[in-house]
Amino acid sequence: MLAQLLANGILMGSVFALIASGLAFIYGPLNLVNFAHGDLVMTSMYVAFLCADRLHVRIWLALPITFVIMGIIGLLDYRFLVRPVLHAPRLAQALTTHGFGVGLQALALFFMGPDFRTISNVTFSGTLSVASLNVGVARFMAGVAGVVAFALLYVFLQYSKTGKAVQAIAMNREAAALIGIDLERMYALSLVISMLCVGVAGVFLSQFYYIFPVVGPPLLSMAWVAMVIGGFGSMPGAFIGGIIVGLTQAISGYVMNPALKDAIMYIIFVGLMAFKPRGLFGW
Amino acid sequence: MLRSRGGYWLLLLVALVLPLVLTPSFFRHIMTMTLMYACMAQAWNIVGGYAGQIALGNVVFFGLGAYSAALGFVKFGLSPWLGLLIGIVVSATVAAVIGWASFKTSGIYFAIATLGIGELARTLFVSWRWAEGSVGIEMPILPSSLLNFQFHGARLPYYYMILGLLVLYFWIVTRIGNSRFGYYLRTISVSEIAAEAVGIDVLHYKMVAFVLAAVMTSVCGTFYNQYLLYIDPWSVFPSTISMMMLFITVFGGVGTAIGPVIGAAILIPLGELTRGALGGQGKGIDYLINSVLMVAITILEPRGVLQLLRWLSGRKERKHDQSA
Amino acid sequence: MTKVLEVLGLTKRFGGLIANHNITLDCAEGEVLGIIGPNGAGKTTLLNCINGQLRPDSGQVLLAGHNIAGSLPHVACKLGISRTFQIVQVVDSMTVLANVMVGAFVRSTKVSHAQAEAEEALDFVGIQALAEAPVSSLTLAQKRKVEFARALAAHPKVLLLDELLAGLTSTEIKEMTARIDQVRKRGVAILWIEHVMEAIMPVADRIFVLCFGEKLAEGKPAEVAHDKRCIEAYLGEDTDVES
Repeated sequence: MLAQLLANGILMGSVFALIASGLAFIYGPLNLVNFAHGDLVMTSMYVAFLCADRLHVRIWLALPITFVIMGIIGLLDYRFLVRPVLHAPRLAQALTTHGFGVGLQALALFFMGPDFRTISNVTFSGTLSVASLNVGVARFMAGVAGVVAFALLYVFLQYSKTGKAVQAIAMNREAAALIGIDLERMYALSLVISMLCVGVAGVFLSQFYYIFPVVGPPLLSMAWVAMVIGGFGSMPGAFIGGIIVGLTQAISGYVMNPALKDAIMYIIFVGLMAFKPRGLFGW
Repeated sequence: MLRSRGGYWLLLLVALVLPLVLTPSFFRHIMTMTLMYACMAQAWNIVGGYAGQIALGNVVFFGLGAYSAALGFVKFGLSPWLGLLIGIVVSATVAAVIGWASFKTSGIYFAIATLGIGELARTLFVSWRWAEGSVGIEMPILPSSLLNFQFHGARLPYYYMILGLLVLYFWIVTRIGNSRFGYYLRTISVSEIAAEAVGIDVLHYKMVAFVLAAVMTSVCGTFYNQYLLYIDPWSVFPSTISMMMLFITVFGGVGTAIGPVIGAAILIPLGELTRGALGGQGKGIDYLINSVLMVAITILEPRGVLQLLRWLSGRKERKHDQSA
Repeated sequence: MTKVLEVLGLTKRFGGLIANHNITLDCAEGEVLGIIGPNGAGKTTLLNCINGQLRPDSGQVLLAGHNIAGSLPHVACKLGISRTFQIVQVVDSMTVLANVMVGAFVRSTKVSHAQAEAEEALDFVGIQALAEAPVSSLTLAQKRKVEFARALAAHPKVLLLDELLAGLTSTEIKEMTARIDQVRKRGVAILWIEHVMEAIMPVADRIFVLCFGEKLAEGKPAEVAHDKRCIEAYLGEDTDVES
């Protein structure tokens, strides 16, 4: 039973890690907390839902479609909502991103209604049985997608010229500009990459997670906790943070009243904030 | 802010007389809710406007105030006035804990922590069977009296109570603005390093501002419970209420005493009328309008409608000078 | 002259970098101690350790004999240490007077009292005409003066100045230097980090030279100016300087 919990926890954790990475991609280079991040995951979940429900396409086609749509949303978000407040006080940044998030929730509510949705013709169905473990195929694929996407991101950051430029901006904006890095393009790129993370997470989540307009904020909280646990500015940290969040959710959901697992998460978050705000690997 | 002190008294007079002129209960309901939101926005204004701390989950104090009164009465037979005090104590404690944990680190932690507590409170109360969970709590009807904190029939006393509360809150914020506390908060809002260096115990003052806002919001929650006589986790803990507190203040004029009042006076009736006009189809449209307005005002005129009004009256004055 | 401020064996590390190593200095009532050194020498770190913004890893900071190392800055301020910042930290949204009043509030809670003190400080610094101006409309020199006035409004025993003159014109420099001299005459102990040598050398009673976190030299301005090590530190080893 414990192994089962751990397996589920790690798989979900991998998805949380991906969502957290998306958040980190904006927080690092742009020094901005995207309060709409969870709602953007919600949006990509609905896009994936519509691909399956209305267009009747499989996930392999839904993925690129979602990428394109989320990428466009990301660019529009950057141009009209993020760029004007890049150098504004934190409150202004919180308001525009939070406002955007609420706007997305409102649109989802208006067009799709408040009901919980699931995709009926999922690409991944059934259960995998390995040793004594039973894992839903959809969850398994989500976990794998998380790891693969994360690995690609990591390789991009560490080994590509653009990736290193992004890291440079995250560490020292002025210095990066001084050595000729085009900040504007990098900001837009960071946002698009963040949207890709959101897209992958949303598409794979939609295969097994409930989809509803306010599914966003809890995801944002968990992504944030993952970032805090792992430490700001650290990509491997964000991943480990995500896994820890996933495991905590799985274990506490089993050990106690499932409704309390959010409370446990929150207590952990508050404790970390009070005693170890730098997290495990952060600056 | 307004041309003269007289301007404020005129506003008060209008507010006193309005429900006697606009008698339909729909209007009175909107006006009562407008005043209540103005109170909560005023509370947020202290921690968010003056002290500059981004509190995103103040609805938790609203809900705690509401539930304290409801549970106190329904489960223990306590007077709602006692429930009010309990709500205050609980809210102050929650604020103190969150504040203490997060104020030593950066403001973003505080923002996320407050965002989380609002969400958490709702999910906890939904699954808390003793507190009736999703079903909510219905208050037994008692005869109209101040002691019972219930009024039936025209329900006018509710309006005047909340108006009185708003006048009190307005006075509090004005006093803060002209006191050392206010100067200190505004400095903290801009540079905590400078604040510390000039002798301001930043942690202490942020805590005071946040706890004060929590207490002020909690009172509104208790009022709401007594006004509606029915609450459930979805109606007293939604993040939309937190957002409105923020938004009303910023829209009206953050960091000023009259800002939240202006903001509430425009946005709450707008929201209610939108919801009323669009009916069931309007699900979410009022939130959409709110979010568009919120983004627009942040980008175009972050100092809010108040600044626009000042600019307009400034133009009128200049025109007057030119023609004289 | 009584030593108001004493720093004993102060060390501050940032990870592997030793920003201040075993620094010992003192400053007496009515004395101006100039602190000079190349960029990155650890001067601002030293100031931050004295006023409590940073906690030193070892050593003591004695204010009138009482060790305050590691205390929070607001405690240091209440005990009598005020400072200015390299990057001016003033509140743009408030008026000049309001900014300076914030400094005065550490001595009293009453608004009227703080206002009187602030007006006096503005008068002393010479910007009383700007009292009602919003800080956002001021030049850098004027903002520096506001910060200076704010520090003075607290009636400090020790005043820490961090490159107060950077970016000012020569007239402005002369004005500010004259004011600093007057503050010294009031009996305030002044620790002054500065790069503008023409300003600080004539005014300082003693100079403390910091280089790569270590004390390089200490003494009267004339002595220090001729010290070969200091010349090397500033201008490079092969320089031949007649000063």
